[in-house]
Amino acid sequence: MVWGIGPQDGLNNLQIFHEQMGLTYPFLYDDGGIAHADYNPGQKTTNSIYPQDWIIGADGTVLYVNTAYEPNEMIAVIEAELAK
Amino acid sequence: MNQLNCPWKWMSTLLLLLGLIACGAAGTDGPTCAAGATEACTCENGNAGAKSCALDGSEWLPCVCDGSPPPDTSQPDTGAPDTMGPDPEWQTPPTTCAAPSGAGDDPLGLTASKQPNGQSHLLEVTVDAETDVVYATGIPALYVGKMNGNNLEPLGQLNGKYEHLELLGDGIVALSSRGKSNKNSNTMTNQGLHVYDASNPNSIQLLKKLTIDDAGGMARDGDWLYLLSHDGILRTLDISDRSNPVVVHELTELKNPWSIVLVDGLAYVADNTLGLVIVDRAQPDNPSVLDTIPTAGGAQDLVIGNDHLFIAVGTAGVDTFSLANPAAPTSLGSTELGGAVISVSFSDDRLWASNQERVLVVDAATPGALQPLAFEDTPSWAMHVHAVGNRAYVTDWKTLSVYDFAPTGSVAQADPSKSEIYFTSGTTEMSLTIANRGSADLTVAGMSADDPRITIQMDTLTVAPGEEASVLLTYDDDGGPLDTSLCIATNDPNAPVQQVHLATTSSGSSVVVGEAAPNFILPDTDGNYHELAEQQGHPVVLIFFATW
Repeated sequence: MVWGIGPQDGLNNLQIFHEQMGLTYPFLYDDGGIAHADYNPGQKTTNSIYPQDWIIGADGTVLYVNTAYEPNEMIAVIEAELAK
Repeated sequence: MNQLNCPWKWMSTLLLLLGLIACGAAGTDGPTCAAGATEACTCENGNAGAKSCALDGSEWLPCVCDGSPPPDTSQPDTGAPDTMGPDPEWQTPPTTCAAPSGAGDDPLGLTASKQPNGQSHLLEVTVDAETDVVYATGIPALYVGKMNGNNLEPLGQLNGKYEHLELLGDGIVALSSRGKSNKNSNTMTNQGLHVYDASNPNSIQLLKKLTIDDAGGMARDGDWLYLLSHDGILRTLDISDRSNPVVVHELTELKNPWSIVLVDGLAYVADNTLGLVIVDRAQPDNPSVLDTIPTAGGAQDLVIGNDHLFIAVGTAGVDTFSLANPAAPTSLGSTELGGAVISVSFSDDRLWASNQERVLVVDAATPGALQPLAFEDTPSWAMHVHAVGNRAYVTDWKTLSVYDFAPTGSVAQADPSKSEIYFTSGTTEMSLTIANRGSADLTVAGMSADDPRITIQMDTLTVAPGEEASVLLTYDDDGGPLDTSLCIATNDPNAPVQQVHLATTSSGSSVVVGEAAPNFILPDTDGNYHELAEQQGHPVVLIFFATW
């Protein structure tokens, strides 16, 4: 499951953006950033707030977090998890 | 491929995982910043602001200093006390952590709770004032019960999935669900407005289906039903024949309406984008927008009580408007209640609210000065509340729950701002606040941490209702790991002893690799709610992002 979570956008913006981008995974609306507040990634490796990528394992533990987009790293973590 | 040439490249993680190419290398001149990226900047007055990169990546946009977009929540807590102005006079609380006596009785408690058969995601609840029968919707589509003494007796259920319900009288129930007719998804087979005869809850019968995109909240006045849709339309339906509702008018000036209430000749709409929208419905089949008033936060729900309008506005709490002139509501300000308020209900001079994590009772006898009375954390996710007298029915995601309020004297209610605090390497001071969300003075009887390296100071040991105390924690870092609990003892009868986890971390993260991911529940853009815990057994990728 992949979720895009927009803590700083109105629902309307998320709906429009989702359709414009043609994305196939759901966007979740985190009004007020309540859920995001629990996902503080700590020291940033980039100077921008977003994106923040997290991978949660099948057992519910955090496997990966990065504040820079590193698709190869993410794919490696996901493939290793799916191979378990 | 130059990453900066592909503005939303990081959003395409899934598409990449699927082996699709979401966005190719584009442009020849290197942009100056990554589109959508944000970074901190300094305002002219010296305050911290935020700036974002233009959509084409060509430039940084001007520094935004009005508080929006919100501050960078990814920054580790600096440990600075939250209070502004002169330094408080710190004092050391007693080191005991035993609950004091004489705290009074907890006025708010769970009386009954029932889980429907099968999977349950309950979202909205209402009560038939004539029969006291309780109706909840979500998953299952309809769950019907009734209180018998302190027991909630199930009367029947209809399987399926909706988000909103409205009683049409005589056991007839209208159910609505979001989703678009041009989408093909097995979760969206119910989009639109469906009317059921639930007069015999053991045998609920479908009367009529109307396919309407993005169908949402409803309100009824006699033989007129007003139906919102999340794409910005208010529809008026003639329901004089309950088994054949007919759309007679569409008002298309809304943006993202979530909830509607009616008074004589008027409708008030909580629009998440616009705020409060006042609609003239003197002619029921030809309503028009009278006025729009911005709210302190995204409006999600609203209720009328004592000639006042109370609007749930997320983290900004509750907005209150006087209806002395119903066509021109006057703002009386907003009241923060902690968390993001998503639902409100009114009964007997009291406002009830839910913020997913808890249900709250607020004294609204003086609507312009709301006074919190009590709150109770709910076991699951408190999605919606409906109050009748001293009792409130709550859709708590997994269960339909009943909470009773006993108005016997006032009590203190302690609400620490954090449940865990992490000292990053090099950080020796951290702070939290303890808010009093009760109506009596909150007394801190003692506070202790079972680790001699932690020193505790407070700016006050007595917190007036609605106020908060600052707690300053000093960590004598000897290089060894810290993993202990801060124990807080107060005269809050509901939670006399509370614990805050204290630990060191090298990363500054609130949660690190190898730890359990914090659970959450959030709606998607089609109105389906998702809970992280329900993905157990499957890996999940979370991409926190902004569209700007």
